[in-house]
Amino acid sequence: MSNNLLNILNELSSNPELESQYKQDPDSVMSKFELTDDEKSLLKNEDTQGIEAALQLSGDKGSIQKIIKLT
Amino acid sequence: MSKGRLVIVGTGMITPKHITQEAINHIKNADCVFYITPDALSTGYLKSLNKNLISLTDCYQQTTHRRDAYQLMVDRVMQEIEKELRVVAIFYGHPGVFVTPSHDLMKLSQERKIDCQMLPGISAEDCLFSDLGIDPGSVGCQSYEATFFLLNKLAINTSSPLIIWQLGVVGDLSFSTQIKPASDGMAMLQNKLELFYPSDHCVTLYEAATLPGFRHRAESVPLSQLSELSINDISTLYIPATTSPEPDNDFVNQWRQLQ
Ligand SMILES: C[S@@+](CC[C@H](N)C(=O)[O-])C[C@H]1O[C@@H](n2cnc3c(N)ncnc32)[C@H](O)[C@@H]1O
Repeated sequence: MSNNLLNILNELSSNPELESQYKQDPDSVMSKFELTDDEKSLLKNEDTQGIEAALQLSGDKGSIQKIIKLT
Repeated sequence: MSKGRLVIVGTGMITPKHITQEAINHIKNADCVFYITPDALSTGYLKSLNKNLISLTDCYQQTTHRRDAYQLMVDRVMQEIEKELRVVAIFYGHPGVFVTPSHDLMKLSQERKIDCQMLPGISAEDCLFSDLGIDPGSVGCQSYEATFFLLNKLAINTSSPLIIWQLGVVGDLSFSTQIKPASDGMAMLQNKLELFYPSDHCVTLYEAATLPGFRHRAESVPLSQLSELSINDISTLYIPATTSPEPDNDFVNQWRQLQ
């Protein structure tokens, strides 16, 4: 799994213009990030868990933390 | 007063898009940063702000009871403050909304006369207000933790909306670090809600997006079908008002007479 998935997500998170473009036309935005077909379908299906798993496989991003309970 | 300092900040639901400028500045300037966030982008981003980033997630693995895990988090953070370091503790969302260890840390720091503050962040409820178009100022708003709602006799006000948090552990009395709802938790919740609301009242299961570009989940069903919905650890329930508040004419008349 390449870093391109992480790159597109980081860009979408910090660039509101790109995010609204993505919401209108995801394919054209995705085409700028050299994503694999698997990565594209993870995004298209809004597969949050699949994305977390893919990012974890790509190394650094390290421990994606599934802990949500704090009370 | 100890020279150590504590700032507690939130990351919102999606990092970095929800994090505030003041939180970023505190993270950058800290000697040591503890964090516990579930969203996929947070670790990489937080590390880019401060290399001394330490996860608190393993506290759950080290104990079986959640209360002990929270105590472990508090001990770890306090240890660094006592070394006279500037410490930041990060919790996702708003760091003080449905978060036990952040409030424990504030209390302990105040008792020990440590310079401490908690900064606001974007909570799940804030996202709900935006995504579902709710203004808590129009007819008020009530918020309860799901299991607390089950276990207590509460004066539920059906003329203002009700938000139920933590469906993902509803009815779980074990307080285990293995996080899951009781097997009949959602059924119990439905039964209890039916004491206040008609079975055909439409309720909404809500999940704010946790990745940029994604849509939120808003699934509306009649209350009678609530227990059939598939819930996640991020699910929150929104129940709209069913009645209108009764005007308090006695008070208004008394008030008029005084004027
Ligand atoms: C331990 S609390 C933490 C809340 C967090 N501090 C905040 O400010 O929103 C966890 C609960 O918050 C709610 N929650 C967390 N993430 C959510 C999301 N993405 N969408 C809707 N509700 C969420 C759920 O009710 C979940 O059980």
